Amino acid sequence: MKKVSALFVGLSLLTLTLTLTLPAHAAGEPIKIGDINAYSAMPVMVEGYKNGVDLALDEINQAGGVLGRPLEVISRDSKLLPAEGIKHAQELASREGVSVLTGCGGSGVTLAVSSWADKNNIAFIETSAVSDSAIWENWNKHFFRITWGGYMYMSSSIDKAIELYGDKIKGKKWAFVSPNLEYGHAVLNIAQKIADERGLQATWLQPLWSDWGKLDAGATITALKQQQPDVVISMFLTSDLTKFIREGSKRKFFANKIVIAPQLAAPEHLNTLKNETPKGWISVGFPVEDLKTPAFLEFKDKYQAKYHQLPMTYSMMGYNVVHAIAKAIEQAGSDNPEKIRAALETVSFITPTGEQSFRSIDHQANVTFWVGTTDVVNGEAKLAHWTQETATNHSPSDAWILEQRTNANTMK
Amino acid sequence: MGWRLSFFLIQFLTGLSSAAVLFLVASGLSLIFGVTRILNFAHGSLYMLGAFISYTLVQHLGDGVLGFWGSLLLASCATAAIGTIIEILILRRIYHVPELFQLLATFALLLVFQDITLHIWGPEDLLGPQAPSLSGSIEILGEAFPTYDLFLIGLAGVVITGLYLLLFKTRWGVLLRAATEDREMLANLGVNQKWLFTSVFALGSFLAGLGGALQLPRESVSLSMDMNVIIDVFVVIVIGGLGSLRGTVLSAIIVGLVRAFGILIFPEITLVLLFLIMAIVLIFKPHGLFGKAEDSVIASSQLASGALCPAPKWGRTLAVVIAAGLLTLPLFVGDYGLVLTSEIMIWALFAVSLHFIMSPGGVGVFGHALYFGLGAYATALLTKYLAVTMPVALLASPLAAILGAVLFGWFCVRSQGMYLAMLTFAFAQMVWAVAFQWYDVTGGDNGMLGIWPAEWASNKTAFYYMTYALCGAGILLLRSFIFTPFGYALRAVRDQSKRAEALGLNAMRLQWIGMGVAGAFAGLAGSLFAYSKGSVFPTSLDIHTTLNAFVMVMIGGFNTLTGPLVGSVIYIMLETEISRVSEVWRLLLGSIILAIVIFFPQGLVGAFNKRFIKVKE
Repeated sequence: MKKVSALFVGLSLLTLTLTLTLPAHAAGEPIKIGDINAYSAMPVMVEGYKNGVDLALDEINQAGGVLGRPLEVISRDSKLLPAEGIKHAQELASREGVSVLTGCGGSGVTLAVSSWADKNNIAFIETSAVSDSAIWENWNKHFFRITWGGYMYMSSSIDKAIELYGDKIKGKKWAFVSPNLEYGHAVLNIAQKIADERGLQATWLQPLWSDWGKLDAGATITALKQQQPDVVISMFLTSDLTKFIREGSKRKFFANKIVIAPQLAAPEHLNTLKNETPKGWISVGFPVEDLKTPAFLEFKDKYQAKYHQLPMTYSMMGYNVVHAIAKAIEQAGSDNPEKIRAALETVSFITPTGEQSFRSIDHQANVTFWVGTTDVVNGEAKLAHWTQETATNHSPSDAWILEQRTNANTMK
Repeated sequence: MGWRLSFFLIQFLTGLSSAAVLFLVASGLSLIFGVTRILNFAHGSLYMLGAFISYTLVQHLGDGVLGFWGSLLLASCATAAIGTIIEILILRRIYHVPELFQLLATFALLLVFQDITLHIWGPEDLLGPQAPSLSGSIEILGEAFPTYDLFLIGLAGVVITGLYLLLFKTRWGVLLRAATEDREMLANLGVNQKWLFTSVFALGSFLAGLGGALQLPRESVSLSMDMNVIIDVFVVIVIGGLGSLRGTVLSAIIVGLVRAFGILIFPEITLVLLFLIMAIVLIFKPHGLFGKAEDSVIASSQLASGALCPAPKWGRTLAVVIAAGLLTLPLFVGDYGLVLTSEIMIWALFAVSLHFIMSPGGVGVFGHALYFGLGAYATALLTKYLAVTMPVALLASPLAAILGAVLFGWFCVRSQGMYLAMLTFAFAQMVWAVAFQWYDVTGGDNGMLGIWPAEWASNKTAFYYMTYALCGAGILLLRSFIFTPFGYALRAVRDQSKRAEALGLNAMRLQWIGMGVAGAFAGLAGSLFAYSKGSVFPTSLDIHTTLNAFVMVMIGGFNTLTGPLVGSVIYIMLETEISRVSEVWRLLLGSIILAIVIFFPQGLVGAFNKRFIKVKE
């Protein structure tokens, strides 16, 4: 009775076998980079990133590639699912034969792929993150990061607040609102640690958590009002952030408050909020129109010529990561994943904002970022009063990082 | 901290205004469900489309009074038109197929609309204008409260009144209520049901579109609006009682208020709270607050018909050949081939366990991920905190899943039909929420890492053989259970529960045990899955995992034994290959599922059996 269904099974197995036995790459073919990103789940973050990657590939391949071979990036959609991320990592490494992995989007996917990459001896470079978990508690030697993280956000923002408000920020009541995700909890701990270290004598109010993407903004604002804070830290993103801003302004909450919203000034948010961007909030951003160094202008012009728009935050990460890998492959003299990993530890690469390399304790690149306050000028939202910062100046001590790791390991 | 009266009042009003939006969207879904019995996932898409379309219209018509409200109204009408087209082109073709299949079709539509929306409007969030003359706030006891939120509360009141009048004071309303009560009787009375269904769908879609469009002044329009709203709305209509207007009103208010006050009282467990309320309501009021007992409804018993026969001799021979073929697979394929085949086998075991409880077991569950996830988390927790070895974890995981099934199943088998499905869903979501938010123990959304197989199974070939042995044994065992007295008793209860009870079979206990058996194998699959990925995440417990297994069973063939196997092979291959080669994988995958639902409503294996093989009557 099951003849045809059996036939079906047979056919499926045949297809399976055929797809699985496709030949691996031959010599002289491109050197491949496997990229796992949240293409469908967070398309706005990835769009600019992918443009940056393609721009860098053009440059490198027009100049003859690396080791005489073209460089190629193969992209896969993580759908923000960790298991999916691992599946792609497996496929990219063993079927496509990629020499290194890059990617981002969601700390769950990052940690999953990082753990897999370590087990399977291939380097993984993260290109977008808030959570620092992957470089500290859950770090492994195959993991590298070429982007900003929670500690940098908090450390630079609090320093900015001190710069702007001086002693007036001492002895205040601090409120904290965030999506109920791991990065929110981690950033809260960091904020408390930094406020302590800077001697701010902060009183921390009960933090308020919301379901990711489902912020009940009215209720949160009312609850915040009840707490009567002087300083508010918001870790909201995308539509949660716009809801928070609109409800807060309608309910007249933000007047006379110092607000720190580290992700607000990302072009992705400013493009959406436009002239409704709240003024004077402390944030980390990418003041793309104000950066005038020759190297940056060259990058910006090339980008605009190709895409007819300004680079986004992650455009530069995409551009940088490809150049970093190309440099590491040259240095390793091979497409062997372990050799590339070793080369990444010592490689230094030129970016539009200067030379960078990965430091040894946690493989964090000394990336450049900008902290300032938001403003609306002639209807255009922008990051104003900014200062340029580097990762090196906003990192915890090595001893503290090691302590985090030991604590995490003893827990296991 | 001292709470002031003004705070309570403002928070109460805030809760009511979110209840108002929830109600608008939920009432449309509830109406549609009442008449067509379709739990429409695509309702979330219509909500999202309403928001996007009104955003675009407002850009053209301006944000003056006429332009703004005109845009909202036009967008809602456009959404109603889209809903109507969906109903006529797609749903009308599948009213005769079982409800669970229809659910699958609407899920496919949701996927399709995600890609279409992304393609038309692009990835960036879009911020619409404020509502003219409602952009400010008024003072209530000295606190500012947005006038727009007050307006929403008032509007919901108007819509409630309007719907009440429509349902109870018009002929159309009478027909609609009659259709909700008894569709066949209405058809026998000569009422043209086609257009009744279409009109209900149009009205429901209008309300969804309106709900979405009304978000314009509150939040940016984004591509995640559909999934964000649909789960909440499901919860609302289930708590209220499916198809009941006043139930929807009350439950929207409850959910709105719990959300508003929950943020202060239980800020870190808001996710659990929502599903906890749903579970508690369903335990004490098995049909929701105001729902009626379903007489004719659902479920699996309606899906499954005809006998399931053991494979004939040649079938067994073929199975042996395939099994032998799989044994030699490591000789032919590389690491990735083995990894992918292992994954297919794990999913096949999970799909077969779902099929076991739904088809022969006759229990229409919609939260099977619970047992898969329990198995995975049991493995991870035991490895991390007790450092147990792999064989122990593989043995303990099914036990953990059985424990879950014993606990949750006890409540579930006391419920029926769509409510049973939703109760299983509520339990799965609760456990998911606990895993997602209990950082100290489960790592929260970061999951648990470093769950690698023992040294001897760590290379891909060894792991493949282990998976092969365990999954193969599991699938064969589950299959053989169907032909034991226990399996026959389960099927007797499914087909003729009254007669079976008269014969002395304890229906509830049988189904309870059935859930335990299915849960155990799902737990084993979950444990293997954890080892294959080296880590465990809350996603293993969430609705996507349930839906994956569900899709596999349905496209393979609900009422066949080989269906889940064929379905899992095809689905994993499709999903892997499509998302590898195409950016619009959701559009393609959704379209393929839709095509299968429309053209092969018995699933692929079922369709071919029917076409080419004479089934013994």
